[in-house]
Amino acid sequence: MIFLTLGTYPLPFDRLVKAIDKVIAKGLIKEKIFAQIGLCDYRPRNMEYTEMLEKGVFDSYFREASGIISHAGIGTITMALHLGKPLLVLPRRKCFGEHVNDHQLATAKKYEELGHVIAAYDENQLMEKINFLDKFVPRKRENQSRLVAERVARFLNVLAVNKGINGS
Amino acid sequence: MDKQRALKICVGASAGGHMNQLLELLEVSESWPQPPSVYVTTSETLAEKLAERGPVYIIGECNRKHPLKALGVLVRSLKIVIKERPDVVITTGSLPLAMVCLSAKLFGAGTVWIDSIANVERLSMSGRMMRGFADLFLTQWPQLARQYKNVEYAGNIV
Repeated sequence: MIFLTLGTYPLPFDRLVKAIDKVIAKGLIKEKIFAQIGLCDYRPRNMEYTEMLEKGVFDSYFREASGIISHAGIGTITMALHLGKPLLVLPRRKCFGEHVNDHQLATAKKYEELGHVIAAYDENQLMEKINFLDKFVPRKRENQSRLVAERVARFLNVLAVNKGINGS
Repeated sequence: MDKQRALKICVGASAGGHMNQLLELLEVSESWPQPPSVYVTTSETLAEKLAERGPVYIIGECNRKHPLKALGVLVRSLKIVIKERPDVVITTGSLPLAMVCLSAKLFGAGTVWIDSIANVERLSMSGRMMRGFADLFLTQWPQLARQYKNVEYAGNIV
């Protein structure tokens, strides 16, 4: 099963759902796709879908999927990288009213360049690249969250002293 | 020196990727002098999960296209700050949390803005707004720290 999700961003993203529905209609993909379509107006004809899954259910779909298709949102990208899931993203665009700006375009390019995701920049590319999904092995992403937390800790300790508070 | 009082930390993030980043950070925040005691988010998503840690406030979503909604978020932010009086607000964004930072700043709190990893080529809009106000401003991309003054890179959370 491939899991299609549009993230939690409060704007519809019909373009992605329509394109995937078309891919299935054309027989370009064999694997079953399940979609969480969020605020989309478009109702898929060729796949099972739901509007919004409860977080726990969402997580189990994500874990069980062989691959993920989504917007280029960091929440989804991070989750896919954590679970080592192949991910194909189509960035939400401002010009289609899918987001307030085009930062997902830059996110998609960067994570694609780093080997973490497959990125499609329009519906045609999506149709081509969907078949790379089952072969794609995402490159692991190292994070330095502890270093960031320690930098914040240094700030907090200075702040506590400045405020005359016993920090710890 | 007020030895009796511990540093009151408020943390917050918009639902979605911003919240994921905040939770990742909290996972490894044992070096902080205190755990956070107030949590702020924008929707019910994960609110229940956060409630296991402490009091949670939901301020609603807003973006720059809906100034009235933003005003509502600002009013709710001010109420939270007046009630909780945090010493510091730490956030991974986005705009609604900038409102919390600004409100807290009005009442003398420190602010830490960690710009979301989603902003690769330039800082987020709310980040650019916060750059003049935040006491500590971190980006998760080294090239952005070189591009902007008063912006530090200390690593990436995700």
